[in-house]
Amino acid sequence: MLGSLYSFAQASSGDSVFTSIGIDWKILIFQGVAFLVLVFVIAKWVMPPLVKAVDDRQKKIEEATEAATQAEKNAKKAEESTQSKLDEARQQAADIVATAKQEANAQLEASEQRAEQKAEAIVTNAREQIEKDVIAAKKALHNETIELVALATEKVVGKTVDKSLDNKTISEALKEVR
Amino acid sequence: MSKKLSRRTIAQYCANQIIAKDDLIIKKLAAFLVDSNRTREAILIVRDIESALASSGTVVARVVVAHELQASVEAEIKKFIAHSTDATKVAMQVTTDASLLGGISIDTPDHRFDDTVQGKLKTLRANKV
Amino acid sequence: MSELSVTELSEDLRRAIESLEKTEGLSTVGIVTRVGDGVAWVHGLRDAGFSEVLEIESDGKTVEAFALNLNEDEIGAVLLGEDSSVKAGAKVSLKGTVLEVPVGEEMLGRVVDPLGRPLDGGPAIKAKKTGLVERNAVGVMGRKSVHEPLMTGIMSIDAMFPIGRGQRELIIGDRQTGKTALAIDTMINQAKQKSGVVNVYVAIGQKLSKIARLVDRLKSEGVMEQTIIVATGPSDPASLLYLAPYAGTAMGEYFRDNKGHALMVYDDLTKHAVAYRQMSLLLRRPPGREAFPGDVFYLHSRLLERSAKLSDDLGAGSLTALPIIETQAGDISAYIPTNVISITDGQIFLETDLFYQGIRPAISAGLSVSRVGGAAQTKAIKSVSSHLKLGLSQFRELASFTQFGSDLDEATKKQIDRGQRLTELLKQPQYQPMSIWEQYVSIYAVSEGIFDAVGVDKIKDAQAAVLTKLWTDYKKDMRELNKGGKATDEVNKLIVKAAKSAAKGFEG
Repeated sequence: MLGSLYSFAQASSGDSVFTSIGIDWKILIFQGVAFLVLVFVIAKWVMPPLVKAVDDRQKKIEEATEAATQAEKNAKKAEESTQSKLDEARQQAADIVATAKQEANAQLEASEQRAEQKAEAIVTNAREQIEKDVIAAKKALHNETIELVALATEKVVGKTVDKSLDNKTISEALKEVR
Repeated sequence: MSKKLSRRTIAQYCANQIIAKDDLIIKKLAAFLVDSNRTREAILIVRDIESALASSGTVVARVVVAHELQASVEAEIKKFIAHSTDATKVAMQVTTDASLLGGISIDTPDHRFDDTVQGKLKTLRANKV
Repeated sequence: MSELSVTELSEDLRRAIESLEKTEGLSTVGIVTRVGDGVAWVHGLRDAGFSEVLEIESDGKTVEAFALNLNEDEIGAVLLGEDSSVKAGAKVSLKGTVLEVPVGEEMLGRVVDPLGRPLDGGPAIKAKKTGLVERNAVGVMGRKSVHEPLMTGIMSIDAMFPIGRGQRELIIGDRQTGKTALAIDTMINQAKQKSGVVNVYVAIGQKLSKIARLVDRLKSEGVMEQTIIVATGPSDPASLLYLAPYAGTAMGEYFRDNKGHALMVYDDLTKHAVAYRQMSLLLRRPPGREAFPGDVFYLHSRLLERSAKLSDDLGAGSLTALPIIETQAGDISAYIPTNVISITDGQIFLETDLFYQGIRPAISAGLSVSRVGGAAQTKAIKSVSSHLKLGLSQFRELASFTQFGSDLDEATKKQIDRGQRLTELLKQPQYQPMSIWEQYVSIYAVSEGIFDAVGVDKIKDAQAAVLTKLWTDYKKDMRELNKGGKATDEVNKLIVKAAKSAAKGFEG
């Protein structure tokens, strides 16, 4: 085809302005058409995928940047919340420790009090025991004395009372009751 | 099965018979006790009879003394018993028991009078705690 | 007090000797015809009255007895001492009085027998007054309805089955279920809360070692100064076991009739009924159901009717009774338990199963009841008790579903969780009664859901934590709450705050 085009161009070469300056307008047209065809081909088949690829790439880059910023934001947020949770936990721990300390103190006081009370109780018990011993001793003395008095009376009366005394006493007792 | 006669009823009947001068009543009572198999209650029935007699004016009294009683004192005692129990007739049984040491103890069916030295010593000993 | 007072001794003796000089006239006597098994049959003494005291001479000593059977021929008298010293033929005389015991403030802090004789080795009791052992109960017009609370210090009882002053609340359960422990905690709480209520603990046939331990415990808790203990051991004559609750009631009635308040604990009435059965059978009275005499209901009804709240005219005193009955194998439909249940104003039923599951006090919320109820409850506790009761009854209904765990719907799960926490909260160690504010705070925290995140086994720890916190930081408000009035919103806010912070430490 080119060959034919070339021979057509040679055949039709005449004397014109274009030939004088070296422009062969037949070749020009031919080249123009070839160029247009090329442009058409490129525009239809080469440009779109290229443009698409570039666009895609652009999109990806944008997305990536966005994601990166978002990730940065999230990371910041997470860090903040972790920090606040840690603070909270520290606070709670402090509270718990404080309460535990309070309880420990309270228990200590309570056990001290109990120890004091126990000591007092021991002393009171000892005192009570002494009192009980004294009471028991009093009882024993009381009973012994009565027994001795009774025995003494038996011995004395057995020896001193005779028939006439007895009769007299009886008589008096009967009168007393009447 | 007839209901068992209470001792009180038996005693009251016997007492009435004794007052009515029935001499056989004691034998009858003995026979009854043997027949109804109640010989173990004999002492209690005797006490009840004495009690019934006492309420009708005849008092049986057991007197225990440490030494022999003079006649005057015995009479006083009888008077005393009669006065205290509103009795018209007093039958006294006097016994001596040296362990009483002194004083007098009178036992009637439902009452007692303890003025013995031994009795007082018992009361004293009862004060022990 | 501790020096040997010789003058005192010699005066006693002088008086004894002087009394010998007097000669009395004829005195009425009977004689003992038979004696055995604690009963003496006396012949004579036609004038003896029912329940009159007789004096039997034996070996120089005098043994007392009281006439219970007045037959035509003889009197059946129950001995109040050992029958080994009484012989047939012994002389019997009338004392002239019916049974009386010494009563008054001098009895406080003492351990005595049913006749008022001291058993604690202390000095003889010199009481100015005596009270009749057998006495008629106050009539209808002399009473007022029960309206004052008697705080036991045990959360389940004060919240769900409140006891009022003048009420009779039966404590019933098998052996070793914590019946006496409940009564002891109530007595300890009266001292802790300084309520002014005097305790009278009647031990009927209880082991003497148990009574000794009880006295030690009461002394160490500082309760003994406002307690009287009437003690009879298993080896005492049945007559003393029979008289013990009546004697104790006479001592309690002294305080009731003198504008005071007293709490009676009868431990336990089953042994009392058995002792009465023994006496009745030996007195040849006809046996009835389970060989008990026909008047075994009257035995307990006349005892418990003497516990009452008096009207303002009679001084507004009160006598509250906590009788204890021991059942066999949880059978509350036996003879004596049904008798006493019908006499009392409610019962607290202790179950062996709950006890061995670790729920102590082992109070069965389903079978226990208080027939006086809210009228005798402090306003503070009343406001939270309905949530507690509701939560527990719902839990009981769903109790069998706890095994299904994850297959349940949310609402059911929530109820079960709440119920488990409430049950755990109501467990209480012995000898640690809780005051009003402690009970209010604990129940409020759990029933408002603040402790829902706390593990069931950590509820008691969380409770301790919140109570310590509130007592340390807001003592004044808690003291105010302890007076029993309804809690204000500010106080409730304080409680919520403290509970929330306490709960955080025990989550999971």
